[in-house]
Amino acid sequence: MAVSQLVGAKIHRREDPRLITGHGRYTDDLTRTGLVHLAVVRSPHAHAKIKSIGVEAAKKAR
Amino acid sequence: MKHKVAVTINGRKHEHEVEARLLLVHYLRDVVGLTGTHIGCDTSQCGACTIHVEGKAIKSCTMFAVQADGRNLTTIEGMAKEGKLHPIQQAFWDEHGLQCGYCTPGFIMAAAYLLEQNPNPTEDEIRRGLEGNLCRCTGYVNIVKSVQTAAKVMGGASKTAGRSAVTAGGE
Repeated sequence: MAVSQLVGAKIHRREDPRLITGHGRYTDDLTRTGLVHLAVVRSPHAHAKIKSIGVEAAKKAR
Repeated sequence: MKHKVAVTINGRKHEHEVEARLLLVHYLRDVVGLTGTHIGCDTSQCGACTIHVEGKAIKSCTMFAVQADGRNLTTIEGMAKEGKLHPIQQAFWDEHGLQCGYCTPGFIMAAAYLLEQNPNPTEDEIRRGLEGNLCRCTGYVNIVKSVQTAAKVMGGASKTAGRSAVTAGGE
């Protein structure tokens, strides 16, 4: 198509059909076998030495 | 404790056992697998999760799955019939009513309810009708245009002042 035919012309976007019918695939829509979720647990202490990290509860969550 | 939920979604019956705390939007997305309904904020502000419950537009993050028991639901996946886009979907495509498309399913569901209540809305009425939905790609202008076009196609019409009024309005 020549440029003159594109200027001012109505162009339908190719990605729209899936987006307007609910068939888009956003990252939150994806699932994988064995998928796990991550949550960051921050220290409640402003300044402290890490002696150990208790991961038992987190491991059980699976 | 699990509770039994039986719902009809887009004409299909579904039955599951769910926890009482499960939100309807999570039920639709994670249990039924209908991911067209999006979660934008989780706080009932953005409207991305809007669906129809018994024909009425609701934010599905504002309702528990168990509250939908026995009801008829329609999601964005149920708007196109037999491969043919709903006039509102077509209008969003034609009028560039979307960019990233994340908020679009919610807007289409809210617009469908709006046009059912008011087949021939003014620009103000459209903006008021869609105030529960947020679009962060920047454009409400083309969304309003899309709803006006859909209203025309669906048989409403004469009250709209025309497109120029919309373009002059800004966001």
